[in-house]
Amino acid sequence: MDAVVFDSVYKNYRDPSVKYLFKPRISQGVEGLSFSVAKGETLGLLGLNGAGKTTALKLILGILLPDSGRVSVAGVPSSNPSVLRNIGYLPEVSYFHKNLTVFETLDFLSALSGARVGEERIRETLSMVGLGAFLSRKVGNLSKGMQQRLALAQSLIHDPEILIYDEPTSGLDPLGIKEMRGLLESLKKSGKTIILSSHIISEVEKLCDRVGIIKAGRLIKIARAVEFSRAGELENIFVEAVS
Amino acid sequence: MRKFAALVKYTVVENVRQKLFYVLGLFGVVVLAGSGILSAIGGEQKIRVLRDLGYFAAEYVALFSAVLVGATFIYDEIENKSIYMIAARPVSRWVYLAGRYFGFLLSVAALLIFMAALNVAVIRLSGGGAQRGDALMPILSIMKMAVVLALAMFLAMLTTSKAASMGFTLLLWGLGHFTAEMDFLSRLAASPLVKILSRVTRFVVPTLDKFSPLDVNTLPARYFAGVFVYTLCYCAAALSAAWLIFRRKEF
Ligand SMILES: Nc1ncnc2c1ncn2[C@@H]1O[C@H](COP(=O)(O)OP(=O)(O)OP(=O)(O)O)[C@@H](O)[C@H]1O
Ligand SMILES: [Mg+2]
Repeated sequence: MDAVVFDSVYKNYRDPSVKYLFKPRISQGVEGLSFSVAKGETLGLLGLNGAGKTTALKLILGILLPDSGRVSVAGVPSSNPSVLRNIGYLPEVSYFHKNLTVFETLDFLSALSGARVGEERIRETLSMVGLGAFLSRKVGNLSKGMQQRLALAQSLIHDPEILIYDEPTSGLDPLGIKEMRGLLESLKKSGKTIILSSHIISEVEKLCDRVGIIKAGRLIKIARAVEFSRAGELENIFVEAVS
Repeated sequence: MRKFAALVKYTVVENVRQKLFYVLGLFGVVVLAGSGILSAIGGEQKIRVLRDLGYFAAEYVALFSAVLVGATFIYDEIENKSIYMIAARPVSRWVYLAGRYFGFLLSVAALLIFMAALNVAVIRLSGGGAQRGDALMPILSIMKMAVVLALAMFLAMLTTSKAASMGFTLLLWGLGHFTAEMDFLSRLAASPLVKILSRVTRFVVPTLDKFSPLDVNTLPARYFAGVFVYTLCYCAAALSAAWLIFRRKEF
């Protein structure tokens, strides 16, 4: 069974201040998105700013619900929170509660995942993302990149099958970017399904099995990465497609 | 259940580490200590003044922390997007709201118990004896705060700014202490429209005067049981209403 399926999904953003009456549309999110991601596959979404990548990823998590069409995760509609048991999410910008420590944050979030996670597993995960020495530091006192690493740790703590990563390398230093690449490679090898969005074409090209290009909420091209390479530089194809 | 427990626990941890929490606690201590000095009046009179001042200080410290936390915590969580980390986990919205609510209530109750203990200590030191009300008033105050928190959370869902939800909560808090007068006025009203309107208002405004009886030392247990049942019903209704709005919220 496919891990994630989009079936002609439409989503518009509406003005939240006119809550209960007629809600005028303020911007297009995604328009008629249809694609599926097989179990164990890695899909990269490319697109310019505001193309609808983040919107698509939030639809998988049920943080946004489609206006029409269906999004399902392993056959279950994404509006059912139980699908989240098997999903790890890395938001494009990560914010945490500033007064909890790094350790407490993971303890809290793993409990919310319904996973029985011991102290050992928390320590392991934190050292894996390079935060092993900051267990008792308050999150408010971490640097931006360190918070991004913590965000990475929280996406993995409950050992999910599906990873939804929104621009995973943003905010990381060069070493962090390299480590992130290595980590994504090894997660891919271990059989996880990964859906990530990015602006960095080379990153997507190297890692992903398939690449989708989104423009103004529409998926205008989706193909295996090797087919892209055969047809020419992915960068050229991307620029051609979006312009 | 583990999810609920984690929510409650870390809501309390988060609150207790807020500086404001200590500022409010400190304010309470200052008021109580000040009252010890101020009441240079003699004998029974002095103990009564001390006791009333203690109740008063505890109640207002608790009120401000309850309104602040109830009206802003979830609002801020949505605003600064830390809600994503939680919304991307298999927690139903109902469990989330309930977990946060009980976390708030525990934090505020801790503050109230601390102030009540302090008050009893001040009274003792001034030579006063303990009375039934010293134990009952904090319990009534905690129930009152349970109502205020549920109301603040509901209003925070309904309105689109922190100031508005805090303002409305305080307004209803104020009205809640004049429910007897409101009942009286609605009985006087001739027009059926006013009657219906006042009925509706009475239903929304919590009956807070019941929580601060003057004769707390002599009231029968039945009275407190009634207040308890009222608290349960009001909180359940307000939280359910908050959930109805929160249920389909997108972030
Ligand atoms: N909360 C929101 N309210 C209103 N409009 C929104 C909201 N979030 C996104 N949009 C709009 O939806 C469209 C798609 O946004 P989205 O965040 O999905 O883009 P993106 O591809 O992730 O862009 P970026 O590369 O900048 O992260 C944009 O036009 C954006 O203005
Ligand atoms: Mg984005």
